[in-house]
Amino acid sequence: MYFQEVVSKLENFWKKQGCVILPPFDEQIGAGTLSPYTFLKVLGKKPWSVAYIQPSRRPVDGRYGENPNRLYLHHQFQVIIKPPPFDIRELYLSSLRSLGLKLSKHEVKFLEDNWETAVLGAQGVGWEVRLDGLEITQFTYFQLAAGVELDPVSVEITYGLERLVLFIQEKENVFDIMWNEDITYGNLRLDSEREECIYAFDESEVSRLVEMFNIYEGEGLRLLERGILIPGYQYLLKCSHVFNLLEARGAMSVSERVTYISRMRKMANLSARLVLEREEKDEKPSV
Amino acid sequence: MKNLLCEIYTEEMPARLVRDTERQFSEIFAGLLKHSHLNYGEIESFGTPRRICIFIKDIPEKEEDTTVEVKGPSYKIAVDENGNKLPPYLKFLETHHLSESDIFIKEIKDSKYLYGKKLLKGRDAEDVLKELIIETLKGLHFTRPMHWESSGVEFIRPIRNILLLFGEDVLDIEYAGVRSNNLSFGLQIDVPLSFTIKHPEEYFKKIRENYVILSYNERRRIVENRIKDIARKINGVPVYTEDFLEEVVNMNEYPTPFLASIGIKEIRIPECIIESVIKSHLKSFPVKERNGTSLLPYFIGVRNGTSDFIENVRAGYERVAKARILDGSFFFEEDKKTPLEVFVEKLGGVVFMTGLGSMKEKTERLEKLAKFIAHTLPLSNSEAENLIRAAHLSKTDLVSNVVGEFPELEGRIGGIYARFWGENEEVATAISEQYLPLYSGDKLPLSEIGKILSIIDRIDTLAGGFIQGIDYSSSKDPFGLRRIASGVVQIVFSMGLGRFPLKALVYEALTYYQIEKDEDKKRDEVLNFLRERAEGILKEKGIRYDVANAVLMLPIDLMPAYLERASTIMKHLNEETLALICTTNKRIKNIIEKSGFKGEGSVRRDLFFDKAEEELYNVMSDSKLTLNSLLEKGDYEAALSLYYFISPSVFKFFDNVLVMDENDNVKNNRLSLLKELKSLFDAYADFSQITFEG
Repeated sequence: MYFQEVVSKLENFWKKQGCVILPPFDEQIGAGTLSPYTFLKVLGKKPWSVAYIQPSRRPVDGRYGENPNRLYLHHQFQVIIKPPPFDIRELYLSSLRSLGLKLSKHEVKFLEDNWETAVLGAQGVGWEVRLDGLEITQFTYFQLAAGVELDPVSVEITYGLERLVLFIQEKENVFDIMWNEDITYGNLRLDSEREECIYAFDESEVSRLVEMFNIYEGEGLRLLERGILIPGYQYLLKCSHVFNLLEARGAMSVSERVTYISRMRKMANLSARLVLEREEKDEKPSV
Repeated sequence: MKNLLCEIYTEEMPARLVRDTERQFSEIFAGLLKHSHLNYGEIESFGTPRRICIFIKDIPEKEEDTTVEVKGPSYKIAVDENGNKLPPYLKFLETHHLSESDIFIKEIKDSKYLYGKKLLKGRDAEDVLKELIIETLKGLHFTRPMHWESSGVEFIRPIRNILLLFGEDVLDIEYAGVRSNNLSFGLQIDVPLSFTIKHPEEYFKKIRENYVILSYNERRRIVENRIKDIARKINGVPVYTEDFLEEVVNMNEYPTPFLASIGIKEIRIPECIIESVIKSHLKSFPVKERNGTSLLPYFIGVRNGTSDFIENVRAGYERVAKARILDGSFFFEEDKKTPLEVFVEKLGGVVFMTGLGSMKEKTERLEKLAKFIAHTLPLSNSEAENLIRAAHLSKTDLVSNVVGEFPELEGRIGGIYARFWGENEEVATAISEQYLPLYSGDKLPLSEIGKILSIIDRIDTLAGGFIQGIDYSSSKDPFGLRRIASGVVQIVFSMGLGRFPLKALVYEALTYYQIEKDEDKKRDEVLNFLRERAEGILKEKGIRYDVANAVLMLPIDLMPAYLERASTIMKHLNEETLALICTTNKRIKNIIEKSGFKGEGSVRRDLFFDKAEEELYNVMSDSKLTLNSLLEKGDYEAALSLYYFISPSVFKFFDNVLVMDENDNVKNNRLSLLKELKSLFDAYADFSQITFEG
C-alpha cells in the first residue's frame, strides 16, 4: 500500500467514526500535539473529534537525509477524540485492519509510555504501540493541558506514518518508501531534508534566532493579552520552532533553556485561558 | 457455600506494576473480608497485563448473626426505688428493639447502667461482597493514576470490563461506568473474543482455552525455561536480570519465546550498544557464549501469542534490531569525531537537578571533591591524578549521541570514549564503573579509583538533593536518593579499609553549594541518611537489628568496618564469651551512669588502694595498644577474645572495690579508670545494644 493510500485509508476510517478531517495547520510545528486542533481543543468541556496529518519538524533529529530512519521532518497522523469512546482501543486496532493488516499474523503490544510537554504544561498517560517490535503509534489519554486537569479527558492517537509505511511496504530505508506507484519518498523529500539540515546545523545564526524569538514572543504576548487567540497562538508556534532550531545548534545553557520554556509556557497559558473564557461565555472557538 | 470470582479487565497495565496491582487488589480485599462477618476459604489472586483477578473459595451466603452489647441509660434514672421501670427504660427498649429479657446491668466506675444484648442479623453475602469489591477498587493506590471517563474514577489504566460471579450469580455493581457481568475475554488475536462464564471454576478452564495464562509464576517458568532451551541450542546462555525477566513476563498473557538473529555480519560497535538495543528497544534477551563473555549474533524475543505466523513477528523484530544497531553504529562513529573537551563544554547545557545548575558545574564540583579526598585519604600522586582526570571526564558521555539514544549506557560509553582518546586504563575504568552499583546487590566498582569516583559523585548528589529538600520517602524519591546513598554504603563496606573520611567529605561537598542557613542541620541530615541506609544494608546481609545498632553507634568514618565487626559479633551470638563481654560492659556502663560522673581527669596510680585496682589498671594499659592495633588491622576475632580476657579482672575489681568511696578523690579516680575502660569497649561497638534472650 502506498504512502498516500495509507493516509487516505486512515482519513476514511476516522471520518466514519465522526472525526472532522482537517488539512494540517499551516505553521512549522514540532508535533501534532502543538497544533491548535489538539492543544486548544482538548481544553474545556465541549466534545471534539478530529483527524489530520501533521508534518512535524524536529531539527535535532535531522541527519542530512543520510540516515535510513531519522528525519528532520516526518509525518504524523493525529486523532483526537473528546471524550474517548469506550472501545477506543478496539477502534484503533480496527484502523490498522483497515490498512490491510491481519493482526493474527503479527504481534501488537502496548508498552507503557507516558509523556509530558513542559512548554504546554501538558501530560498524558498511555502507551507506545509496537507492531512486530516496531513502534508505530503513541496512544495517550491526555490528563493535563496548560497545567489544568482535563475533564473530560481526550484520547490522542499519533501514528508515525513513515514507520507504519516502512512496515507495510517492508522497506529498510525511509527514502525507499513508495509514495505512489512511481514516486518514492526520497524523490519528494530528500532535497528538502538535506537543505533543512544545512540550515539548522550550519547556516542558522544564533543571534538572529534569538532576535526572532524575541520578536515573535513580543507579538504573541501583545495579541494574546488583547484577547486575540489564533494569531497569538501562531506566534507561540513560531517561537517553539525557533527554540527547536536553537536546540539543534546546541546553543543554550541550562538556565537559558529553562527561561525560554517558561516564556513559551506563559503564552500557552494565556492561550488556554482565552479558550476557557470563551467557552464559559458559550462561544465556540473556531479553529 | 459459594466461590467468588472477580476479574478486572483493563487496557494494558505497565508491566512493572502488574504484580503490585495484583498484590494490592488481593491484600485489600482480604483485609476487608477479614473484618466482615463472612467466613471464607482459600484466597487466590492472579495478574496479567490486561487483568487482575481474585478467586475466593467457600463463602457462606449469609453473614453470621452476631450480638452486640448496647449501652443504655444509667440504672438510677431508668428504674425507681421500687423497681418500677421508668420512661428512659422503655425508650431504650423501643429504640433498639429489645425485649426485657435482653437487658442486663453493668457497673462502670461505681454506677450502674442498663445494657441490652442486641442481635445483629447477618446480611446477605451478596450485599457485603459488592460493597467490599467497590471499596477495594477505590482503595488501590498508584503513584501515577489516570482518569478517562466521566465518573472521575482513578485507576492505573482504563477498566473495560468487570466479571463478578458469586457461584452462578452475577453480583451487580457499577464502577468507572462499567456494569459487572459474567463475561471474560481471551488473548486478543484478531478481534476480541468474549465468552460467558457460568460459574467461577469454569473460568480457569475457559480462560486457558482462550490463550491466557493467568499465573505470573507459570508465565515466568515458561519464559525462563524456553529462553534457556533456545539459547542452549546455539551454545549460549540468555542474559537477564530478575527485574527484566519480570517486566518481559508481564508484557505477555501468553508468552512464546522465539529465536531471532541480528543479521549483521561484522559488528564494529561496543557490545553494550547491541545489548541495549535488544533489551530496551526490543524487550528481548541477548545471548552470550556459553563458555565466554561475548555476545552471539542472536537474541530471543517473546511474542504475546501462540507460535502461529511467528515468522512474521521474528522478521519484524529482526528488522528493528538491524535498523537500531545501524543507528547505534552511526551515533558511535559520529561521537568519535568529537574530542572529550568539547563534550565537557557542552555539559553546560545539561541540567543536573532542578535549581542546582548544569552537569558542567557538577563536573567542576567533582574535580574539587576529587582533590579533597585525594588529599584526605591520602592517595599517591598518580592515583590522585587519575581520580581528578576521571572526575573531569566522568559526565562527558551524557552529551554523546549514543547515550542520548541509550541512556542506560551512561558511564560504560564514557569509558570506551576515554580509552579511544588515549586516556589511561585506570581513568577509563573508573569512568565506566562510576554508576555502580545500580541497585542493591548489583556488582560494585572493582577499581579503587572507580569506587572513590562513585562515592564522591553520590555524595555530591546527596548534598545537592538535601539542600533542595527533595522528598526521598519510599514512595517518591524522584532522584533515587535512597539508592544513591545505599550505593555509598555498599562501596564503603567493600573497601577493606579501617576508616573512610565520610564526614569530612559530606561537610566539604555541602560547602560547594551556596547554603544560606542551617548548614549544620543539612550535614546531620546527610550523615543520618547514610547511617540509615547502612542499617538497611546490614539487615539485608542478615545482621540482627540489635547487633546492627551496636556498630551503627560507631563514628560514621568507621563505616568500612561496620559489616565485618557486626558479622564477627553474629558468629558469637550464642556463646558464653560474647555474653560475658556484654555483661562486663554493662556493669561498667551502669555504674558510670549511676554516678553521674563527668570527670575528664586521667587515672592516678597513687590513689589506688586495692590490688584489684592496680591489676585492672595494668590489664587495661597492656590491652590498649594491642586492641588498637587489632582494630586497625581488622582482626576482630582477636579483639573480641581480648575483651573476654579483660573481663575477669573487671569482675574482680567490682568484687573487691567499692567504687563509690567516701573520699571524692578516690571515688573519681576509680570512675576515671572505669571510663577509660569503657572507651576501650566502645572502640569496637556499643555492646550495650546487644540483647540476650532470657
